[in-house]
Amino acid sequence: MFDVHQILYGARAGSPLNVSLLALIYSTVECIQDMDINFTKEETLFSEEVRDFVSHQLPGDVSRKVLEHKRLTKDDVHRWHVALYKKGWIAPNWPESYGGRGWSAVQQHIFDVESSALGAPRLSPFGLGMIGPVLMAYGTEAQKSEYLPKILSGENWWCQGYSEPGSGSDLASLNTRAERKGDTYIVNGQKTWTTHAQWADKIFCLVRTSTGARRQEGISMLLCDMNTPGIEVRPIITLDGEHEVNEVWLQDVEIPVENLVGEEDKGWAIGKFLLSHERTAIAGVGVSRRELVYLKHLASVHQYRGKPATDDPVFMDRVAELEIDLLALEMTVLRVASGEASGGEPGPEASILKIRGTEIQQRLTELQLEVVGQSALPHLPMAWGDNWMGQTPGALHAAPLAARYLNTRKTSIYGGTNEIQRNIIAQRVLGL
Amino acid sequence: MKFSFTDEQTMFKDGLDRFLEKNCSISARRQMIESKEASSEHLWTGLASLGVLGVPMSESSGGFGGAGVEAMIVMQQLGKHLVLEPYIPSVILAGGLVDLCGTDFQKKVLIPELVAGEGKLAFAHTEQLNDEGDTPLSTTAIQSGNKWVLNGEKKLILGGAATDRFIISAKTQESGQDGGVTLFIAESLDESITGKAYPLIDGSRVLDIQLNDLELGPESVLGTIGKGQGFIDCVYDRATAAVCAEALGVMEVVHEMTMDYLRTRRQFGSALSQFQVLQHRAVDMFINIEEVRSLVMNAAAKGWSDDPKERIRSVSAAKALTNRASRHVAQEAIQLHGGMGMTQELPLADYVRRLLSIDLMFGGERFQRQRFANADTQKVDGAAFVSPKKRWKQI
Repeated sequence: MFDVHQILYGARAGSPLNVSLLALIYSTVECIQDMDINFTKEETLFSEEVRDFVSHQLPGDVSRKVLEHKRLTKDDVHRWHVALYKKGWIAPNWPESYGGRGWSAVQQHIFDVESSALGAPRLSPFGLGMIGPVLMAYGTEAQKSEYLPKILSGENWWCQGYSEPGSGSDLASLNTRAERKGDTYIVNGQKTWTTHAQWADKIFCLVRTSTGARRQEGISMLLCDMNTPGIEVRPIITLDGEHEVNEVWLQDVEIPVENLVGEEDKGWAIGKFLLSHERTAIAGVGVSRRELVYLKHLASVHQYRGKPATDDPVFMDRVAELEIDLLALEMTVLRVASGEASGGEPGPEASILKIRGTEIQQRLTELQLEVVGQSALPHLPMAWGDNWMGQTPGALHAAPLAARYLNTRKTSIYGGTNEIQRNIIAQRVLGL
Repeated sequence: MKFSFTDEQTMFKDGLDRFLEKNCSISARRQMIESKEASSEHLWTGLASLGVLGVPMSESSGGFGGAGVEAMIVMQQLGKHLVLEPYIPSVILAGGLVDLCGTDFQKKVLIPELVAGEGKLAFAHTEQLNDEGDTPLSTTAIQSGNKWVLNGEKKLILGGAATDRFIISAKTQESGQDGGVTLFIAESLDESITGKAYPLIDGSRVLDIQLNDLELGPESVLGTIGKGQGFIDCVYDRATAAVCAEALGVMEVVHEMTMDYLRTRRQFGSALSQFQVLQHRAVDMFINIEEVRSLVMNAAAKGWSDDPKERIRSVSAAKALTNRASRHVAQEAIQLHGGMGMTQELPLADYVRRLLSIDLMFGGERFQRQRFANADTQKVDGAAFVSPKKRWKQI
């Protein structure tokens, strides 16, 4: 645990600072300036409350890992989850009747920005942001009382069984079959790109329960325990060498009928409802603001050819261009989110957030990489794992940047590719 | 102007292509990386038997007298087959230095060995990862009696892990004054050289070394004492042109893989290649590659020039464009492959990682654009290797 004021005090005293602490101070200063311009007094007080809570309750080792781009374990994320749960802030956007806080869109945004700036890890979205809201809207009372409390407490880690090898963008073509036998579905098929299935206790799956006239008909949503016999998780190693996603094979997996969400054969609408929730969260403004601060920090400390990149107006022009785009994204997020708060579902406009949000995340990793140049060439994955005490051939902060650049390419592919998002806008917003 | 290869060059290219087709595979490459061997004697001697290792060496040194265009042909093929062998460090950089400034005796010892695939060289020059070789060297060579004593650290030595000999750059002093940069030849087995090998993002293995009172005799001095910098600039430009040609070969494969994927992958009832928006994306990749091809040819023709200005403009233009284009091509290839593009399983991953490596080495886009712009206005010191011309008195 660490304290912001102590760090600021330490900075004034001229003590040496590490990268993460500097990033932290910069973000703090930046936010204070923003709030004077944009936020009401209550919102300003709220951000102070958030900052105070995060700086005291976010485990220091987790924060450092996030700020220095190190690999997170399940336990790292879980400890932050539990801290938020104890505070009652784990699902602030859920209705209060379900254990949420009913925060306004602005409050959620403030929390996102403040906690990200201090190095809070991204929580797993599959329970809190996806199946939770789905169960509130479509689940039975039994399902709600069984699953929602465990999503809140962090007892259950969920994963998402949507994509299949032959069904990515064209999700409705999915082929995993569920045959009903008495009180049980027998499920056979293969899911893929399942993020953190290796950590998950539960999976929600879209399966085919009948072959109707339209492919969208005959799809159902089932909930399943990951320990059920017949489920096999096989790792997929991504091109940065990391293990985040998996194949999930289902062979004669028996799922009780009471684990059906909503009506049989009517799962497509539920599945889409869930994806629209995924898109608002995916903008990642808080993370991008943190990474922008980190980019500026790198640009000011990383000496290249004898001077920092901040001395290069051409480079700083591109940073400014990015920052302006991020500001536009941030304001758009607030617009869309406040519309959501007053009118329910996020509309297809949320696709704008997915497209621009992920593009900005990718550009940030590119510019960070450009600041350090060939210092990012050495590939030593142990340097961003736990307990690395060794030295890296280049600056330590440069070590994970090439892998991170590669990893972040996923963002324009997952959660509905950016091409699909553009189709959504073309068809549903522009009516083309 | 002529932009086609001679019959002889085409035959050479096809022969090399056939050899690599038969002897390279992604699975073999991955095994080499896993086993930390990052090079294969079989492949290296095979390249030697095809004459590839002697291509850019002058005939007087025991090579085949090729230059930029021949190097381009080689590198494009090595890129196409994603060859890990240290062609650039051994042949173009270190071999080039021996060829350019070695004594007859040094050439006679080192070049035929290199050309025959029996002795690899590596150039130990870089000392800091955060410059482009423009900070004065810290490695020193002090003359002590008949000997030279070298001390310092060298980093990111390409091909260093597999090399038999190093060419080492060091700052020499004459009576306490800055005496410029001198090149030395040292055996990698020398006990005064200690080091650590590690992988780059593309899987190739490089070396960081320390020179601890490395003692070398006068026969180890390569070229004139204090006059090494011009030659270093020269071989770096050749290597940069070469790595652009390699990137071209890599990008062509990446584009082809993407085209194949678009043709085979079906969603929404038709092949992805039927979607106009994806067709246009494939076209933009193609345009990028053709632009790179043009500037790679330009750098192949002018990057080996004696005129430093011409050299810098052609090479920096090629590298700046290659960096931008290769990033675009790699990003689009991943995107158009969808989730599959993110996996380590597809060979695409290895090609993309090599492109990223090339992007980061031999100068980023920003550096190359500035160098290109400055070539017009800045005085370039290329005196060390400009062929001597008679200076007539003026009336």
